[in-house]
Amino acid sequence: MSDARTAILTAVRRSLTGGEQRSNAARAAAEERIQSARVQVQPTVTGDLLERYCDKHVAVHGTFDRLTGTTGIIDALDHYLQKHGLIRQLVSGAGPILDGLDWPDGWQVEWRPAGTLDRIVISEAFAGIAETGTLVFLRTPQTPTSHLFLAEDHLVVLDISRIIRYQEEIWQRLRSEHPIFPRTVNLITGPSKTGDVEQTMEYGAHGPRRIHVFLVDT
Amino acid sequence: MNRSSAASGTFRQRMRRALADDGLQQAMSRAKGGFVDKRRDAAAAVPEFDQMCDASKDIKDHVLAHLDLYLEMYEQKVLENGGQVHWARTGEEASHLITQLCKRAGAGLVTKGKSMVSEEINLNETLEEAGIKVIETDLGEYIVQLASEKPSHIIAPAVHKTRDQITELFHRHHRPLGYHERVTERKDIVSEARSVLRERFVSADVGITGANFLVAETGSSVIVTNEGNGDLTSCLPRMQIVVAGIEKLIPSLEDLSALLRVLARSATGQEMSAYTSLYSGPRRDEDPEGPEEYHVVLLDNGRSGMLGGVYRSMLRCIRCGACLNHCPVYTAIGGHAYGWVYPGPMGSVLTPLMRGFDTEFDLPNACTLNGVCKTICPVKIPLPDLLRQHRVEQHRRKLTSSAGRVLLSIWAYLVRRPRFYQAVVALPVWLLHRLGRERGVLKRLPLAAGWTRSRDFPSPAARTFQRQWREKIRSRE
Repeated sequence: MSDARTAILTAVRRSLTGGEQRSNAARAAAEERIQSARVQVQPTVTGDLLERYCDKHVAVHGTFDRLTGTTGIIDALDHYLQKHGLIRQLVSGAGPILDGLDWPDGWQVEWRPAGTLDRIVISEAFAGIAETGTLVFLRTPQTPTSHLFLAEDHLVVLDISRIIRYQEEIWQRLRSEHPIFPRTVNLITGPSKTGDVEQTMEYGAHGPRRIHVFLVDT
Repeated sequence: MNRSSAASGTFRQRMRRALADDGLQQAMSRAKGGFVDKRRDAAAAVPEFDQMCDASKDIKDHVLAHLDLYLEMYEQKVLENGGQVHWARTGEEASHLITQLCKRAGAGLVTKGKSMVSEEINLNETLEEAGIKVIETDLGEYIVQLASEKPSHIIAPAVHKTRDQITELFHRHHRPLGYHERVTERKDIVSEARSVLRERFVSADVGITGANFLVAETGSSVIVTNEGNGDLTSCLPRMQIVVAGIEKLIPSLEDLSALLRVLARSATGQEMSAYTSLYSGPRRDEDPEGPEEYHVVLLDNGRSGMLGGVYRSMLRCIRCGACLNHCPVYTAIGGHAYGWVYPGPMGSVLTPLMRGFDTEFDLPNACTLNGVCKTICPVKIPLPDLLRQHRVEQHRRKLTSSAGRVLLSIWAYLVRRPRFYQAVVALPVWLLHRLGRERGVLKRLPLAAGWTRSRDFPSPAARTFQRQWREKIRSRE
């Protein structure tokens, strides 16, 4: 490997051990630390997770609909589009719920990466975190990362059975459900915003101006 | 005021200019209360906050003590993910390396997410010298780039700019692009930047970001933003480059969660920033989009040396900016007066370590030692102690003034001989007391005009504390 690599690792070791090679025990300690996946102090999150999720999501300027079953999704979506004066044209991701939707005639739905002209994207979240009102997305070929950042309105389907209490539960789920770590994991907490003008929050900086979640009880 | 004037001259000159700059003073007074209040409320909202900070400190201490091992483990994972790792001993080496990567990709346009390390290594200048156009995409960074300035705050780069100044900057730079109206409202300013930068995101060949954390467990680089600019920078171009200091390593994803909990609260008073993203390698075979190459540049630039001594704790820093927001010196003079990339208390510690004690003499002394930065630091860096250590180091290297050194020697001689000390100070104390008897303050002092020019000197009591104490004890007996 490169000279710089050797030089830096040697300098680090000189500072830490006086230049001694690392013992197997030290190596094992570092590896054990990762393997043990030790959860640190968490804030107390009590009560109903769905309620908590909704409260936190609203606190970060998100909006939502609660739906029983997947049949109401398209109606709720239509209602949202009408409310905001938007047309029935969108880019869709994939997922257990989205894949089962039966789009009526007159809807223009495309399954492809998003571009700058796409106004609306619908995605299915991998999980929702009650602690902070955060949505979790994993990149898959059908849900590319561009879906999360290019639209003005990001519509998200979340199966309420996938609402977890703490952030750490995502990592546990990923380890058990995804032996190969996804290329990207996105934790999204509310719409895009910036405080760079006069330290005052404005929404819709570079990413979606609005995030609307359909909480589906399957 | 542009970069060349705001950051030129000595610290004292820069400081005087900053204090006389009305625009800066207006912007800073607007900003300072907001940051402090938001952080306080966010910390108070979780009873466990102190424990979270302790845990964060412990994580960083553990990583730093095993840094070589975690670097190797992290590198291994990045390679497994299909990415490449590059090592840079100095800033120059890092910016040269990145420029080579961009050239190899045939890059004409590079988009950048906010990265303090890229400022540290002078990346934009190096890329531009090589004929590569660089666009900053964080709104604050974009504003300072238009103004040909540098960030004045590590999380709020344009904190020193007033809205009027931004309006004028946009008008000047966006008019040729077809934006003829002056935008004066915050939301319109944000919208115009969004619209202008949209085109840049999709036409860039390379995207460069920093990293808030590098996770050894998965080989992921983690960026935290509110705007989403870092993500558009990372996921749209053909090549993704991440540049980060070697101290950004953390062991596991659980450690990431622990540190995220204190980062956003300390920085902006949020529980979570809008976007926390983990990137692990280039696009995979089945992906319809995403960068074909993923490079990480690991920068040393003095960090390996800091690991070995009293300054190791400084490497715990997670760049939240809370110490800047709470510092009376920073909030009075702003970031540019510090003269380099890192301002405020963390900057006053880092800058002499990275740039040399002799060139950065004033920074450790521009501190009131009020200790607030140490109290609010989420990873408990003893900033005032480190600044005091810098002063010791300056004295040891004979960088302090000879008059000061003589006075310190006299002082040291006296205080080690208590009886002699008392005898020597009794007369001046009595004299000063007599001089200030009427008002209790002295308007002028011989040899201390610098002090009395802007404030009064309280006159001492007639007798020294020690003498009063002795008399008190005696009267009780």
